[in-house]
Amino acid sequence: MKNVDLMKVIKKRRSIRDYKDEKISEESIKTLLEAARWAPSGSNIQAWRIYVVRGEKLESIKKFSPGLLSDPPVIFVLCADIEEAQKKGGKLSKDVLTKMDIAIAAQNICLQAASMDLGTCYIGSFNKKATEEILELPDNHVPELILTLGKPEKVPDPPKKKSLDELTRWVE
Amino acid sequence: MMSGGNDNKKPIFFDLFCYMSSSARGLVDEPKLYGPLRLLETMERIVDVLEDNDMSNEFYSELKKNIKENKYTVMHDEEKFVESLDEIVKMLAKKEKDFLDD
Repeated sequence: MKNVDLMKVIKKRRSIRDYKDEKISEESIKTLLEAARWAPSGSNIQAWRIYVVRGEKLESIKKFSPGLLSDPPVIFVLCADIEEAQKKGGKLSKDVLTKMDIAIAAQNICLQAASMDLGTCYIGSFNKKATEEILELPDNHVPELILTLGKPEKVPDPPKKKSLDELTRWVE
Repeated sequence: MMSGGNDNKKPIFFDLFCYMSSSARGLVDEPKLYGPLRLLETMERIVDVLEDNDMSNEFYSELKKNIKENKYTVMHDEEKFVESLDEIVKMLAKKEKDFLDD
């Protein structure tokens, strides 16, 4: 893969909030999960757990997720295994690094999905307690992020981005 | 016991209560502008309930369309989002005037 190809995918990715009423194949979902599996993690602890949610359970979670306004056929609920994080990486891993690792794994999913013409959207506005209840999560799995997945019905224009000058400082 | 109704039958506003309670909890920690967004979304869902129960009309359909078309501007254009809120209030005020005139 050339550098330019990856940059193309990065710039192509959008937050999709309007999906077609079409199923996503298990093969595609597994490809996205494989992309997440190859994400880096602090001390290689890999303390994330991903729940693939469809059907009735998805509809129930949606009712308690104000940020989930679309109708995706699939969502990923990305959880931190706080027991493993604490055991192998201590407080820093449990409180900070595992959350970062989850975000990196999520971005791997989003970019892989964009390369397959699939849409995704990060959802931070969801109720953790309700999600834990509906998915019957064990106490050590804490939901941190939801990703929606589906075939885009509408792809929004690129949003305004800050310039590199605003975002970066070069120091020698 | 308040009523003799079937407790297992989902009341028409149950889903809305789920959404509103989760929104209330979320808004404690979320950006200020998400408050108006959640209220607009609630209006849209109330129109859904009206439609599901054959209680809607052209005015409510137009109101819902207006909300749907503009709510996401909150993500990238605050000025346009506030303008759309003003438009919605204006639309309702006009309707209120119509009620008075009738």
